[in-house]
Amino acid sequence: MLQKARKFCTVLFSRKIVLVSALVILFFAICAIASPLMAPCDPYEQDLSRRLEGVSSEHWLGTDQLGRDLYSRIVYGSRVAFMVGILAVIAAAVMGCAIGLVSGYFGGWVDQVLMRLMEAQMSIPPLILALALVAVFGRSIPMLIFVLGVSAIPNFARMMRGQVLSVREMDYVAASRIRGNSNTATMVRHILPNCISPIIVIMTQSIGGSILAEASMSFLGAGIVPPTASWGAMVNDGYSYIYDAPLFALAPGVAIILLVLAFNIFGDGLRDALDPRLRGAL
Amino acid sequence: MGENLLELRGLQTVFHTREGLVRAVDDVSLSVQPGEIIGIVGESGSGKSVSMMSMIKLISMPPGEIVKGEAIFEGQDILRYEQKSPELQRIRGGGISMIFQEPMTSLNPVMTIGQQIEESILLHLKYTKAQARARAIELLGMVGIPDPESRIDHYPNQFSGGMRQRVMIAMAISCNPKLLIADEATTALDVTTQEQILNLLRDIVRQTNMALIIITHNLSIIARYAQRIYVMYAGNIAEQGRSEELFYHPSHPYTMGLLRAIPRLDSDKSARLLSIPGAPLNPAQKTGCCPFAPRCPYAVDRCRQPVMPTPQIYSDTHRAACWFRREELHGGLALEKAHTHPVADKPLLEVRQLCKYFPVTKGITRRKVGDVKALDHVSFTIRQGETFGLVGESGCGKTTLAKTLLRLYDATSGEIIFKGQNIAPLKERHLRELRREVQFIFQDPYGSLDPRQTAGNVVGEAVRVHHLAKTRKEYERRIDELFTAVGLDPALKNRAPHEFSGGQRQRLCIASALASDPSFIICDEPISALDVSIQSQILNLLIDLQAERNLTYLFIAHDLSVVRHVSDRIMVMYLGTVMEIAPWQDLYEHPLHPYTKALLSAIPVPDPVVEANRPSAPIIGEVPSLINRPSGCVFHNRCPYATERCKKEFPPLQEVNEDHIVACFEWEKLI
Repeated sequence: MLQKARKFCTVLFSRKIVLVSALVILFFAICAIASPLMAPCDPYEQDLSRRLEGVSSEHWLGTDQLGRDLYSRIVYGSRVAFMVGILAVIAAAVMGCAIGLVSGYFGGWVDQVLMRLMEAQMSIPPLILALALVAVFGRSIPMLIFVLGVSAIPNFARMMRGQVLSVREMDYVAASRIRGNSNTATMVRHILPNCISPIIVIMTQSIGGSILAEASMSFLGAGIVPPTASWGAMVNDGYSYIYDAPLFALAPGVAIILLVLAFNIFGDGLRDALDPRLRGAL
Repeated sequence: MGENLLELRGLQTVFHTREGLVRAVDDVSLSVQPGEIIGIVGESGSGKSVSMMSMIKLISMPPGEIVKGEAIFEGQDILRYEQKSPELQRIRGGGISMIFQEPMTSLNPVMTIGQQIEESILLHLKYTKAQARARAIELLGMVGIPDPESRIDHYPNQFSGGMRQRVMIAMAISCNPKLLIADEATTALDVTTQEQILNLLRDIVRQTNMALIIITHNLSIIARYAQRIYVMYAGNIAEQGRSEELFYHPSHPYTMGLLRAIPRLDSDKSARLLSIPGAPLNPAQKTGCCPFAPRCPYAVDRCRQPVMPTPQIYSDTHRAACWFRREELHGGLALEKAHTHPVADKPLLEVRQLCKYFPVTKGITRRKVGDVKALDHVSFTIRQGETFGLVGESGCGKTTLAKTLLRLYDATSGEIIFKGQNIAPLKERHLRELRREVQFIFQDPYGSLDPRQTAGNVVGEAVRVHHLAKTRKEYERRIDELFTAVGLDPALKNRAPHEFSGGQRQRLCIASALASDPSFIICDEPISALDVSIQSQILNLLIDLQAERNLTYLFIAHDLSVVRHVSDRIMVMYLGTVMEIAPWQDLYEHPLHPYTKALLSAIPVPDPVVEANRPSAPIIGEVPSLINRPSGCVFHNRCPYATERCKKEFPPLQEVNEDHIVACFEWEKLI
């Protein structure tokens, strides 16, 4: 088992860019988990006499319009990014996989109904849907997670359904039914574990998308409630001062780009490493 | 002996893999003369294809590497040429041509067959477009494609499997190659089609003086065709000789084992098949000693020293890579009596007028436009304790029948009476008892084991589902028992299925089928995906288990000699209908249905003399698709005895002798 994991990692990290993106993710993850240790200042402490300052030894990336330390706010912002990004994707994956599994396994009218529902949801632009839901239910982090999660369900449902359709025809699924397993047991024990690896890949890739969506929502003022630090809201605050203090808008923007890119590249790397056809080539 | 067309000398091909160096072809020497048919026989991984592929550098390099050797083709060493050199390209296709196993994937689906044949003609011969087309039409006629002038503009999907293989042959011989290599060219085809294709190849060789190399895993099919045979094992040539020498005086323990392990149409059924123990050697694990030594019943210490045996020479053509002469090899293998099993008169399973139709739908409204009759009024009875054989070619409904009996498919109409109860109309939740009593063994041991479960979990699943063990300890003990019963070491139970070899996987499948203590097991081609030397092990295991556990089998296969070996009574199916049901002796000695007769004559026997004297009466045509089933008797368009009546009426099943049922109006003509 250990040997297998080592072999997998060798293949996964054989491309340097995947290793770099893993390190970026790791860095932001440490920031999120150990924010107080990583941040030199209190991200909420205002000092109006030191507004919009540039880089200094005290404030590594300068300060914002209220004199708060920008670097510390970015460190704390990673908490929101990770929490919303990961939880939203998990929520979407759980609901989407359940729908896809049932839809693919039973087929027939169940499949028709569920897939038409998914298509109906996909026909509404996700950001508009999320904005509408926030407008109805109000702004909060759990609300944001729920909203972003719901809008990502169809991706997972469709992916899962496709996987199930191919795995369902395998002999071992028939074997499970012949042994007397119920439909539920067959699905959970034999189909789900064999469909999971592409799901993990799109989960990783979706985290990037989710972080971006959270940033967009916060940028539009429909996301995180101030004063909580959020990268999207910081970009929004900063862009009015883009000529006076360019770092104020740029630094959180770069953080967003780095983390989203890292998740996407890492997801691609995972996909390649899990794909048996590419595994031999590497 | 004349001039050799091709001579391989000491060819050695290795593959550099993560697991280490794999010596796929190890010091192989062989020769082919013009107009000669030779056979290369070996199991998977024996290096039979790789040696041919590396000769014309069709292996991927790296990881492959041709370490040493010469391949003299028409006087020049073709191994000297670079992989992409113009010389080698001229030889591929022009001098040496190949036909592959899969006729379904080796043709390009978006080009007409004419374009594909012309392509290689234009590439190698200096023909104009019009000449190339004329040549292509001539070739299609030569390979027996009716109406070549119009068929030339058809696409591959408009041809059946056998016809596609004919197109492949036309393409391969289009540039008058000197040597044609047929790599398992008939393996994917039905028995009756296989015979047609091999006959065609032989006729082409006779007409054109081309040499032919048949690569196959099946010793029987080359007995009729090959003049000389090379037997390969783990990258080495184990034995070579003229076909009579090899079949009558096998001199390598591996060849002897293979010949004794194949059930034959004329073998003694009461004797147990002799099987070669163990599994084929993975060439990655070669140590330099005789590769067969670990499985050889005669092996002595000397065989395990890291020196390859010097071949024993029996004649100019016949030699075997063994330390011993064949006279010294005796004992070790004795014929054993096969287990017998009592058959009760009581029926266990009765099937009455069973039909399974799949609807054919059209358009987005999914309007039903017709039915594919996969099973059409099938009736038979299986008695308690017997082995009921079921044979037929592809599309005859073998697997559909099995899946309908298991209620994986719902029957369209008819009754399935198992132990006195009609199970056809039962709802899924009432099938629990059936799921315990009836089990299934799949053809493909690679697809039927869940790759994410351990071997022990797979085997024990039925025990858990049916609550057959009360405690954890009892459960573990039961799994151990099951492993032992199928000849596997219980210590392996925590491994994943992919860590087992094909034969071991099939044993796992059998163990998991036995787990619920069933009384009836359906075996769907349980050995056809396995290596030849493993097949007899699995057959023996199934026969032993039947005697020990009082099992009833429905044994499905396309290979009549295998079915004959295990079955008490046999049913022959064709296009979803029953043709004939008879006790095995009656069926093989006095077949009363023209189709049964044709099937029997198409089966090759591993014996060149028997083969030469056997009347060969190949049936015409191929198995039609189920969508265009012929009216009346479904066999009438291929049947030499067909009358007007056969085209209109469907012959009912009638019992003509005791226990001998046949669906034919003209059966009396066959007596």
